[in-house]
Amino acid sequence: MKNEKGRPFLEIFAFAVNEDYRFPILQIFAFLYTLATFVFAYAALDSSIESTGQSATTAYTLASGVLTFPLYIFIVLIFKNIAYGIGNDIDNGIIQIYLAYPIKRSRVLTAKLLSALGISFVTFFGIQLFGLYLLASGIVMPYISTILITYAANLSFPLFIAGVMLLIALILKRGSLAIVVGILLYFALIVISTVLSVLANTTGLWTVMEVLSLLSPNLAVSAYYQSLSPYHTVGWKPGYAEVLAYAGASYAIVAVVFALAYMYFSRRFSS
Amino acid sequence: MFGEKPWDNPHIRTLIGVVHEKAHFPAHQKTRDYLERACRIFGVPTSRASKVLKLVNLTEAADRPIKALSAGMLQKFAIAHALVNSPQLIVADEMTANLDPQARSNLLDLVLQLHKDQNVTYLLSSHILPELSRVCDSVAIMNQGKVWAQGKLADLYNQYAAGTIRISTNKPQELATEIQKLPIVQNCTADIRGIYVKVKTGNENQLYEATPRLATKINAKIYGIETGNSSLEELYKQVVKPQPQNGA
Repeated sequence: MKNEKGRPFLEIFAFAVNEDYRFPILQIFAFLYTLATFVFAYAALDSSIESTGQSATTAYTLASGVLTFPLYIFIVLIFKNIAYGIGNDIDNGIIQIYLAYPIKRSRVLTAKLLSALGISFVTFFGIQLFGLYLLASGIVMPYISTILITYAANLSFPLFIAGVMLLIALILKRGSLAIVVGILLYFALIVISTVLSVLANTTGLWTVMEVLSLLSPNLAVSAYYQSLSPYHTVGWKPGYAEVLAYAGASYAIVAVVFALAYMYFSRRFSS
Repeated sequence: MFGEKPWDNPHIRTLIGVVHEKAHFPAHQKTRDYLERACRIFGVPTSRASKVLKLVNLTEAADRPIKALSAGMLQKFAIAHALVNSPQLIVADEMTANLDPQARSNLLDLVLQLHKDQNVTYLLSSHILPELSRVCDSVAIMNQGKVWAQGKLADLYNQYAAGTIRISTNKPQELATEIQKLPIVQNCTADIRGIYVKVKTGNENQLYEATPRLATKINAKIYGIETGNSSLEELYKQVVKPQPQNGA
């Protein structure tokens, strides 16, 4: 039989989407929450313009305001997809089948991650950004860089946790363990970050904030835009270049974690 | 493998099929639907799905979800899945391990039939040795990651089992000690099931004559004396003498 060129990447991706989003109850809630952008945007817009006028700070307040709730749903979704999409395939041995197909291991993992992270990402933030544009293009367009850095800064930390979960799922071959560790790590780092932030604000030891911003650059972004307010006289005041550096560093850390996962899966993973 | 490094090599995977010890497929998928997906992955016409289901006698289960298949049917489905890309070689790892004796026998019959009809080579890895001699032309005997012997089954029997006599007794260790003293004996080992004695060619009769005498001397009972190795399992024991552990 003459073999034509197969399309293993597309098929594995399509199958992963089918599996990850097969029972879309969570996704429906998430979608509704994402649509709530419109409601949140109005509320955030009113209060923000009232307090600060139309400025970069307004754009930041608007973006972070509409982002908050959907971000949690997004986190739950990607954690679920990593643990039960990729992790379960490893747990129950289906990954053995994928590894027998004519496709590089790295492309198998890419197809799975595109489904687990990519689809959720596009669904959520595509709708959100579009919603923001429709509602407040007068603010969004002049300050698009503010909007984008706000989103980017909020996403790197969940992506870091997702990368750690992926590594755990691959190395320990336990999806359920990965989600437990992921959730514990997420909340542990949030608590530690909050405590250390309070400590830093009390003592003026801004090095703590700088270190925390490497994992969670949202702290730096938040401090930067708050510092633009005329009412803000004390506290950490990072420059815009610093904010970009923290965001870049945090994504570099995320990239390292995912690169480790790719290397392990490509070179050492054995089902 | 096929002149190439097999690790993470997509080209090699177009030449081989794989059957795992416990087949894992997405449980809710229908058998034909999943095979059609495999066809698209390998770039073969989706009509191949129905053909391979027919080859393994699973046509009637084409519209069943995979989770509704019995263990034996699931392994047949795994073989059908391995056949989708018309491979030159199918690697089957312990594919009969979780099956009852009848299902094992049926599956091996199927393997023999497919080997004959489709001209596909099968590499079977198994700890269940007795059934392998029925289907294997060649074997490689492995233990602790090392290949101890390999070749045509008949050649291995000639090399390792010719002149080997098995003696069943109630005192294997003591009788083995006595037999070892005979000058005709080349090798003699004992386990709980009996004694395995290899004698110089043409001296088998001398062992038959000496054994009752030696047994009487140490007050041991002889239950039986067999010539040659009767199974692959005993061949395995002959080959892997120093560390007779599991593995094949």
